Amino acid sequence: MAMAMPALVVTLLLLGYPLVYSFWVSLHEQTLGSRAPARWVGFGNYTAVLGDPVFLPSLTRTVLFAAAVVLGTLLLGTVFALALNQEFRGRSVVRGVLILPWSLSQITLALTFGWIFNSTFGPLNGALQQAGVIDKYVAWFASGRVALTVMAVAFVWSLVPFATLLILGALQTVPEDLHKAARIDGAGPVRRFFFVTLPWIRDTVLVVSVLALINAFLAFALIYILTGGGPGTETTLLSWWGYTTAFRDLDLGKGAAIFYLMTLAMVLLAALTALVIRGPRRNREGRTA
Amino acid sequence: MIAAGGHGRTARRIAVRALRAGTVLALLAWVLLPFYFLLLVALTSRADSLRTPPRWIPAMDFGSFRKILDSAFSSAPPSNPSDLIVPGMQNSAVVAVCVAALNIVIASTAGYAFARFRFPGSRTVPGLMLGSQLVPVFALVVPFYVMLHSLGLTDTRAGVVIAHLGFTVPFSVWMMRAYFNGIPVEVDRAAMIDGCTRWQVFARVVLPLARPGIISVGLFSFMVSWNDFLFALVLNSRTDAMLIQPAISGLYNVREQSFGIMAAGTLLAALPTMLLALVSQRFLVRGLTSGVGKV
Repeated sequence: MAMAMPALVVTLLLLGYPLVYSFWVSLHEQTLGSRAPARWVGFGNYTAVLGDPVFLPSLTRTVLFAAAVVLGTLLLGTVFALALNQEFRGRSVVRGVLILPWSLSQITLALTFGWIFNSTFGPLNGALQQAGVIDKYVAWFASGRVALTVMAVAFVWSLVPFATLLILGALQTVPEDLHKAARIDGAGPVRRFFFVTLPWIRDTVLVVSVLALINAFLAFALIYILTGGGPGTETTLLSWWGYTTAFRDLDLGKGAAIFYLMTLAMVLLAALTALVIRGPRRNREGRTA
Repeated sequence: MIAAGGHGRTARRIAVRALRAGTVLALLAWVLLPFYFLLLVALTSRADSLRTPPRWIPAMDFGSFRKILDSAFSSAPPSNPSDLIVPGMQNSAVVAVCVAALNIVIASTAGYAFARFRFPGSRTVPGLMLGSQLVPVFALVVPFYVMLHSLGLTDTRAGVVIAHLGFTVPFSVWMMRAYFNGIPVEVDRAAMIDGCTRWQVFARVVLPLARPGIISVGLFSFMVSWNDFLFALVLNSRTDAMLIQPAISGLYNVREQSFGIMAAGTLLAALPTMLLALVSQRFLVRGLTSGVGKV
């Protein structure tokens, strides 16, 4: 169909081709900026990635970081959505404000949290000291573990409002009858949440998880601004490792191999999620997400 | 449980209400405090920003904003990272508007085709386009760098526009298709009976009805383009073609540290997308949720 052509051409040329090309690059030894032709190395770059001492620790870090971001986002998003799911004065204003963090770029996020957690002049240290929680200013980015926690907090901060909006939207489709029936059966608020509400909003929760997961998996600007992957390689996540391999060490082939492995992981995760979402939906009638 | 007496129930209701009010306040603080800290230091003089503990009430010193905006009117070549903010915003505005306009044209035509016609791939391609959202943009950076470099398009705004189309168009097509699906086919049929050609049906009848979709596609692609850092950083490193995100990233690790300018620049750079998001919250949330909800 002619009308779909421009979109198909753009997609094939600017998404399909780069993906294939990137795979081609990952099978070659190629130095950024050098005139020498790329040399075929087969899966050499992939074995180099998997055998690299940086690989396992940064994979573990990426997974832990992503898990923390997903859990934090879901937990806070659900609590806030439950609170917003009732009529009260000013609710629309609160909902309006929620879009703000989502509209920020990753760089803005990094600069904001870099300032808040600044070790000498940042407001957080100032407030904690004035409150008597700490007696000496904390250097938040001096230890990899603390720095990663700060980054996870920043990520959760930026994701929670949008998660709240999505979960709130789903909460508003939960039929009141189900809650009434459960109440008559003697279920308290906690049990009603876990056995009525949660199953009903399950798909949205999964979608929110995947969105948070993708975002966390691709964390880059925060590392670029705040730690540069250090101290040492303590805050080197896979995305940062791929970027520095390709554009600092100029090893395009190995960089592409890292990115390709990440792509594969994402696609697998997404396929898995789609399966989980699709599976039981067939049994449920009259439900629009 | 036996029903509690009247007093118990009232007490419980008050407790629930207090809990909810507390949660809503916590939510507001959670969202707004970081912005407040940024605004605080942006409106503080350079000397004051180095105080410990910090000031908690803004001093209303607009020096940082003035310094950034002043550089826009001087003809001298940029000498500080802060001189790159206004040109960066101009470059990004051009890029993001082009990306948004192209997305609207490409996605509305394709979305219509996918919503109304059956042709090979008309069912599977939209699903693949949604799936493409899961491709990490990182996988595209290396090939785009090589492709645009060989075409001589690195360090140009056109190069970034091309790169941004690659990861915005597929999702835009998906969103537009969802909007057209929501418009009954009978509308098309009625217009055809009245003598419209296919193109007339599309341009004069269906497209105006899909205006909310067009707005969300435009907003979405503008914001993605404006906020992109990775491609802007890798593809445009020369100062005269620099986009806003790399421009503000340069404010962070400057030796002559000025936190006020960093905060003011950050706020200026965030202003367009924040305003767009606030004004068009309804469109954005509906557009994005219709995109992610219907897997």
